[in-house]
Amino acid sequence: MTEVFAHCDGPCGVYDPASARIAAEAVVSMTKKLLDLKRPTDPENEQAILEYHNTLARYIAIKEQEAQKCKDELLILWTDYFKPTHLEVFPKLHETFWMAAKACSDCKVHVSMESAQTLMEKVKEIHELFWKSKNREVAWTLAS
Amino acid sequence: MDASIVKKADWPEKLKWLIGKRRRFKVNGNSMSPVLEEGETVYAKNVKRLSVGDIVIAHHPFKKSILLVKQIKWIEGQRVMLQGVNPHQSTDGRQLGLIRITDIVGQVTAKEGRPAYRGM
Repeated sequence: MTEVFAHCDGPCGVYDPASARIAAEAVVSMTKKLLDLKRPTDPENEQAILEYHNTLARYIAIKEQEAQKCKDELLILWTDYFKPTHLEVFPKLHETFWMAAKACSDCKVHVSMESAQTLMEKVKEIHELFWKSKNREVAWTLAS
Repeated sequence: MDASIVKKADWPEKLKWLIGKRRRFKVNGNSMSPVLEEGETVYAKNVKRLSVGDIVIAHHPFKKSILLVKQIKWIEGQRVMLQGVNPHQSTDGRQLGLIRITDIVGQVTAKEGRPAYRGM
C-alpha cells in the first residue's frame, strides 16, 4: 500500500545557516549600540532621560529577541537537518551546536562584545560544518 | 481537533474501494493526530471540489515522489495551503507554502485500522 506522509509541516528540505547568522549579527549590533549608548549628562532633563531609557529598553529587547531567534534557527539545523550519519563525519557536531546555543544565552544574560563575538564564531563554525556536509563551498559573508 | 472528522470506513466505502472508486494509503507520521494516527489506512476519492478543512493527499511540492496527507487551511485561486492538525509535530515551524491544486491527488473520505503503538 502506498504510504502518505504526515510528518512535520516543513519537509521542504530548505535549510540555511544564514538565518542564524543574520540574527547573530543583530545581536552583535545591539550589543555594540548598548555599549555605546551614553547616559544623559543633565539629570534635570526629564525628556532626555526618558528617551535614554526608551532607547535602552528597545536595544535590550531586540538583543533578547534576536538571540532567541538565533537559538531557534540553530536548533532547527541541529535537530532537523543534521542526521546521525553526519555525526560520523563531524564528531564534534553536538558540542558545536551546544556551545552555540549556550553562546546565545550568554548574549542574553550579558551585554558583552566578547560574548557577541563568541556567538558569531560559533555560528561561523556551524556555517562551515553545514556547507561541508553538502559538499559545497559557500563563503562566510556578513550583512553588516 | 475532533478526531471524528474522518469517519471509520463502512461497508459502502470498502465496496467503493473494491470497484476502484477509492484508493487506499497508509499513514506515516503524527502530524495529523488525532484525526489520523500513524499506521492507519485512509481511503481517498478523486478530487472534484475542495473546501477548507478537507483532508487531502497531495504530491510534495519539491519531491514529487512523496505523497503527503494534510488538511486544507485556505484556498487561494488555484493554490492551497496545507497544514497538519497536530501543532506539536510541526517541528521546524516551516511551511510547505502554497501548493498547486493539480498536486492534490485525492480527498480523504474514511479511515480504518488500529494505529501503530505510540508509547506512553
